[in-house]
Amino acid sequence: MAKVLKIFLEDPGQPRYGFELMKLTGMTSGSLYPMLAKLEGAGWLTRGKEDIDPCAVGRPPRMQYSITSAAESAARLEFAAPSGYYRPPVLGRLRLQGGTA
Amino acid sequence: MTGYLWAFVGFLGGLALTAFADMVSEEVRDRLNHLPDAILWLAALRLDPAQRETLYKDDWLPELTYILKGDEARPVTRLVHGVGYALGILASTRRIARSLNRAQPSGATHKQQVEQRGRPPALSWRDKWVAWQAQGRQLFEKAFPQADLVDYDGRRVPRIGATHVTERRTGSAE
Repeated sequence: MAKVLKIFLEDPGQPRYGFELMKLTGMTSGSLYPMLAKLEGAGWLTRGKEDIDPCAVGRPPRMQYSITSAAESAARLEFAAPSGYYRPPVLGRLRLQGGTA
Repeated sequence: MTGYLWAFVGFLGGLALTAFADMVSEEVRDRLNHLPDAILWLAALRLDPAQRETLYKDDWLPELTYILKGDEARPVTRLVHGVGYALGILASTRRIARSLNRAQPSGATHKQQVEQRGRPPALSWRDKWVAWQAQGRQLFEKAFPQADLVDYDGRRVPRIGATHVTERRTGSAE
């Protein structure tokens, strides 16, 4: 799920398509679509039809997914949490072996 | 004289064989083009009618049409991508439907929803067999359609998903 959210967070205003997400994340449709359904069900993603003229393009409009603003900030916080956990301690609080401080 | 005759017959036979091989190749190519569509339709059969409208018609089918007709649509590539896409959807249809069902505003669990709807009547084996036959026939017709070529920009192209587009376009041209 992190892979999918990362793609959305790279450009939150940019709607993404299913096949595009498959290519960008390297996931299969069998893994991606249940995840998109879960995220949509949780209110993190919204769906909308592509704005094209089907007659001009010669195909029906595709479904595009966008991340909501609430989900964007929540996802950024979620991504920030592990990086804080793995951040090394501040050097000033360390004491060298055999030191007197 | 006999040698010339055999050479002529051999030449004609070669021509006929080449033409036949070409026809078989075209037939196979055309049938394979419909394979992803048929698999996706099979996945749609596993959905509720309401979900079939929103998921199959609005989401999966346009995406498959894009894969099959997109810029990167080389014959083998589009077959591999199309079949892979459709098989993935087929394998996870129930999971997708469940995920969307859970998100319904009623907040009812799947078990509660089934109880509210009422359980479907139990079918006899004979009825099940008839239903399977009907589904199999529909799948066969989907994979091997009778009229599977449509006019598009003055060319005869396989009918892939977006038939209404070509029909509307033909209608507006007239």
